[in-house]
Amino acid sequence: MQYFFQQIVNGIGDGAIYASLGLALVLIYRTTNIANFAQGEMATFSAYIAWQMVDWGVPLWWSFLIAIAVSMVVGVLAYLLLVRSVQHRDELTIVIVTLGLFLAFNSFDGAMWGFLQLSLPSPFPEKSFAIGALRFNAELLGTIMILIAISIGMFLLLQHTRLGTALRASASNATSAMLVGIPFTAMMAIGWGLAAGLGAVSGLLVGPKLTLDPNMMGAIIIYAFAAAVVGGLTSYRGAVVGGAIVGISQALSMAYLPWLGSDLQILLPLMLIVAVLIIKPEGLFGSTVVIRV
Amino acid sequence: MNVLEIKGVSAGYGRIPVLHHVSLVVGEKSIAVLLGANGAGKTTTLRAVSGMIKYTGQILLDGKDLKGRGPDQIARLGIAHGVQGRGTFSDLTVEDNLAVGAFRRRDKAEIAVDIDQMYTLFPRLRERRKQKAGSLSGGEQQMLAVGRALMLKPRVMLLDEPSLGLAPVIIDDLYEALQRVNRLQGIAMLIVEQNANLALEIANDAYVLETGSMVLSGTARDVSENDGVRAAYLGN
Amino acid sequence: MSSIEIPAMQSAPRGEVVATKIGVGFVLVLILLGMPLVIPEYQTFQLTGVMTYAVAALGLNLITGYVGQVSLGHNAFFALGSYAAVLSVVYLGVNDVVAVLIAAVVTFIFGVLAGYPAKRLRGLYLALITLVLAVSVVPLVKQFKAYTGGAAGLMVDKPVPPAWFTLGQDAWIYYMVLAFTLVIFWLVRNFVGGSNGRALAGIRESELAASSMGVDVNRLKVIVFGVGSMLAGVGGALATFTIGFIGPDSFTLMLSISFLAAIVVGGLGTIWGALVAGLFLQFVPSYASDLGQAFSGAVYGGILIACMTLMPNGIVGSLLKIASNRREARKAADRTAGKGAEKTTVAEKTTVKAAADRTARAT
Ligand SMILES: Nc1ncnc2c1ncn2[C@@H]1O[C@H](COP(=O)(O)OP(=O)(O)O)[C@@H](O)[C@H]1O
Ligand SMILES: [Mg+2]
Repeated sequence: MQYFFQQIVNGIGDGAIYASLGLALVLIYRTTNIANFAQGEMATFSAYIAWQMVDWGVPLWWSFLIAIAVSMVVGVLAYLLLVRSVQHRDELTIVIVTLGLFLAFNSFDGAMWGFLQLSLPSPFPEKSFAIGALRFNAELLGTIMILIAISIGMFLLLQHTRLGTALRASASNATSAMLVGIPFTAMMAIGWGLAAGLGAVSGLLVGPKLTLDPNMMGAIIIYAFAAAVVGGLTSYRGAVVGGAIVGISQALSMAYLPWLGSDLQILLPLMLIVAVLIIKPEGLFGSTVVIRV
Repeated sequence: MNVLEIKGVSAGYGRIPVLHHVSLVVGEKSIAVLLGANGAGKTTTLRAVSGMIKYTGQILLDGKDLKGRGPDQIARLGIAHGVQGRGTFSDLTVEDNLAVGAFRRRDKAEIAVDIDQMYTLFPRLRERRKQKAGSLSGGEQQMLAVGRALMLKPRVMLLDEPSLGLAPVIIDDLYEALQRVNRLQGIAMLIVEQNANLALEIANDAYVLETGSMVLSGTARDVSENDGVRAAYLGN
Repeated sequence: MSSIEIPAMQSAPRGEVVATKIGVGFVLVLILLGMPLVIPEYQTFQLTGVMTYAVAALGLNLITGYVGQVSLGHNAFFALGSYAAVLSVVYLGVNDVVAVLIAAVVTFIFGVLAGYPAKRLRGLYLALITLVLAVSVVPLVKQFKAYTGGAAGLMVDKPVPPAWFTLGQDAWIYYMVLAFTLVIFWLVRNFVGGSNGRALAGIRESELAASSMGVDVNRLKVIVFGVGSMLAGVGGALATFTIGFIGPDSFTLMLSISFLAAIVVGGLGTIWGALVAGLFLQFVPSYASDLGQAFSGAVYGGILIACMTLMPNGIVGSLLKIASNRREARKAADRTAGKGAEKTTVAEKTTVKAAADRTARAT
């Protein structure tokens, strides 16, 4: 039984990472109505920026902050220079362009930093604590705390600031938003910037856990999509719950279904995506969530 | 002094021309009503004013040329445009809708006071302040749209068929509120209507648009006494 | 202008066009038949590759270009066809052509099954579901190591020419693939040419309008998804027999993205665009990878973005557009010149000008 709960705890730790990337997907989808297939690769890019800073001797936490800031700027630029021109075209065009962005970031990372694996130091100490019979290491607690901080931060920003209300208004009705004086393009760009920042956090959490290479987020982005799809791509809460579901189910299946083997582990979140999309494509959290963060 | 001046404006969609040299003025603190049959180009006129479509000719707000500015810039200059149909932010609460209407303003304390004033003007909205705008009835949404436009503290408010689809009692309430706002706050208005009785009652000036051309203009009283107008828009 | 004049003016060039088209097709087939006689073996092998990719790209073009459904799962059907063909040779002992046909049947069935949920889903959701297919391939292949050879892959026996055929194995495979390619292109051309083509275009423009025209939108979508997937399977099977090797690394999501890039470059919703896509898929990756791993991604990414933003009709689509604009402009010019006395409407003038502008910009 203790083993079971320990798996759940570990699963939540991973789930928090998927959730943070999932939140980025939801944020972009809600503000610009685009599913950003490049979100994972943008996060990998963020991790490389942090690695570069560390390599240049910048203190670790500063490196991470700089990486997040740079990523946000890059997110804004990606929107202004590229996405904006296709935003109102059909979905096919948009999907193709974000795939192009995916490849562009991937190959940029490869060209700049090579395809060999690098290692990004962890921001968390190598300590662990025991609460009852369960063990929590600092990384796990730190990850969960960061996700909680992000969620609260997003809630406050979106619900209780002028900018947040303007962002939500732009997402809800672009024309009316402009007619009350909200600059549409700026809102979209800010949405992309914020999402890139969120994605960067996930990249910085994944980097130290795995090894840093251009394809680091290849599987994670699928998990993040699975998490986001649980909320129909539109619910922040859905993305967090979805992240937890994916993380926990993954941990449990690894512990109890060893015959699945490491290769087939990915099929679990994939099944989740398919099941949700086929049975309830608007997501389990529908569009009638009371608090729409 | 006129708040809004539209001078010889022609506009259309793509290559299809809709407006032909339309001219119209809205005086300081006054209400102008723009009448016309379905498809005459009333909505198009308002769209040109708020910068949603391109046009030739001139549109001036307090003497300032609006050409080349985007809708958001024009809104920040003080033109509130309540679009035809439901222009509310359906997944924001009533209160957030009103708050967002004040986006161009920085006077935080006063915004709160004004929101409260909107609730006094439209008591129904106070009851529903925490509800999503999308869940309101048609009449409530129309009131919210007007309230949101007022929150901008506009120099001039454009309203596109505010009475469309509403029950007569509610239309009366709405027009009463519009008149009160105009008297107390001196906000100028350009109201588009097909159904002209009430609008002509509260308006100072009236214009009639037919297939994109202004065919008649004058004081509201003169226009309402015109035989053609009586037959076409006043149902008698 | 009299109403009789218009059809008379148009029908003459149209007849010419048909005749020219048949002539061009005939010459093209002759050239293709003669190719292995004049070019070196390696180039024959490469041309075979072009055709296998073109067949699969044609499948994706049906799904994406003609119906407007986003599919990222083309790699999965390409892989499925390949394994179905290889495994039926190994375990059922059938010959290569039969193996390809089995691959076609299997991928058609799976395509229809995948198409069922697809018909209900909007573009983005479909992209996600097919993304699931796309990333499932490698883990599944690795899991069923006993049959697939796992990550290391399997050597595949290439088709062996009969004794009377003296041009060598590559030429033999070339003719086998050519036969499939010609038949498939001919069938698809007829499929999209007639009333089906109009129905497909209708779906792409507006599903509601299409269904009000009496098109069974859902059924057609499922069929197209099945047929498109089948072409991926056939292309995959043929490619695998051409190369003589099968392994999961060639079936990653990257393959799907390459297919997408290729048909976007070639021209969405055009038959000949698929051929350009085949050339693209055969030659661009090898040149790009000569320049480094990162570069090939950059090439694909750049091409996808540039094409979608600057040239949404692709190479073939743009050429067709230029041609039709020219024709339009010439017609309009004839009209205005012919009746100098008559007033030309503003609309007509702008059409001519716009057409001329577009032509000028595109050339
Ligand atoms: N978005 C649009 N695109 C193309 N044509 C439009 C559009 N909106 C309106 N029109 C056309 O412009 C003309 C005037 O429309 P509108 O200004 O909406 O009239 P009204 O508001 O007086 O009913 C109509 O013929 C209408 O079909
Ligand atoms: Mg109208």
